[in-house]
Amino acid sequence: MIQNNRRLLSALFFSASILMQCSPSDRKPEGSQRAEMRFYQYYVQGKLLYLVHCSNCHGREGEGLQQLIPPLAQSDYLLSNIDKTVCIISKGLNDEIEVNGVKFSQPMPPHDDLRILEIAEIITYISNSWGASSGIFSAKKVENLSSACQ
Amino acid sequence: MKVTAKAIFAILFFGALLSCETANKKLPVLGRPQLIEKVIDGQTKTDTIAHTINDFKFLNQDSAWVTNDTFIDKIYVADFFFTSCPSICPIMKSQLIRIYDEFENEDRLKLVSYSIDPEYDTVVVLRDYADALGVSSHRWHFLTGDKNEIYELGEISYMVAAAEDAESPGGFLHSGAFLLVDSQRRMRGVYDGTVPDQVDVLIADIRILLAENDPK
Repeated sequence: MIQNNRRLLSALFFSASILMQCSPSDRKPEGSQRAEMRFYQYYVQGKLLYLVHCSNCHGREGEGLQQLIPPLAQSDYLLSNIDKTVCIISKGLNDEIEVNGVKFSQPMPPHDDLRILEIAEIITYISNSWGASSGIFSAKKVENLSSACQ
Repeated sequence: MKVTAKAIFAILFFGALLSCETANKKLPVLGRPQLIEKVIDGQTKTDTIAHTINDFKFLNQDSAWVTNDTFIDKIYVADFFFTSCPSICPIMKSQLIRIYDEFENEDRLKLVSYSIDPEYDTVVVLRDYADALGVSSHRWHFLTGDKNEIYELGEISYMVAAAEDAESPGGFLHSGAFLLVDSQRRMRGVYDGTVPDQVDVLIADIRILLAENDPK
């Protein structure tokens, strides 16, 4: 019996030590690594989508076109209105906007064929490129914000 | 012996010069030529008439008429587009701006952009568009007019596709071609306006065509 108890105890101790390794304090680096992976997945996918859906007008390097199509690179409007871009991408834009001191009034067509995740990936790409680093823009966030689009 | 060596050298040298001369690119005249039979002094002779741009008359962004006569003694690059185009037009326009900037001081070269959505692209819309691009009507005409006339001119004279098409982005189907036209209304080159390398070729060809028109 004692022998058995010892075995049981050592087994318990052994599994506890394994469990300890998975304690929250130890999981942290693994979690941030996962977040980083997720960010790059969004970013890389976002770049591919950007080249297909956005770069024709906004330029491969987000440079825009004269005073016709606003730049996305180093754009004060974009970086201070990131949440707004959800509706701008899906529903288009007809209002005049000012970007880096220049007014733009050419309407932007809607892209309602893009799915929520795709919009999140595109926003992650454009808000973390050309010198900007705003972090991941999650699909959950796009889903929440897009319900308010008109 | 020395004399022969010199002679051989001279022959080789001038031969090389001549081959350089012939290697100079001459632009072809595009399109199907028309054969016309004429009776001169009782003899029937066939004349070859090159394909040329048919007569047209459209309004530009200044509300001024533009016709073939606008381009007397000029050469021009033509393209077809529409201002609300979400697909290839912005790329084409950024490439045309390259040409516009490259030939900033060249009065003999003009740019002509025909709208294939002329009902929406009125003179006022084209005016705003040209202003936003920051280009002058003195060098770059944006044209609007009867839709069918524009489509017909595109297909018959410039030999490019232009049509309404619900399946295409923005509702219009059109080619991304840039067309180089000489001072005698003849087509001398077709280039893909969405490919920067092709536009490099066009820029080189414009120089060749301008030199061709230079009085010798």
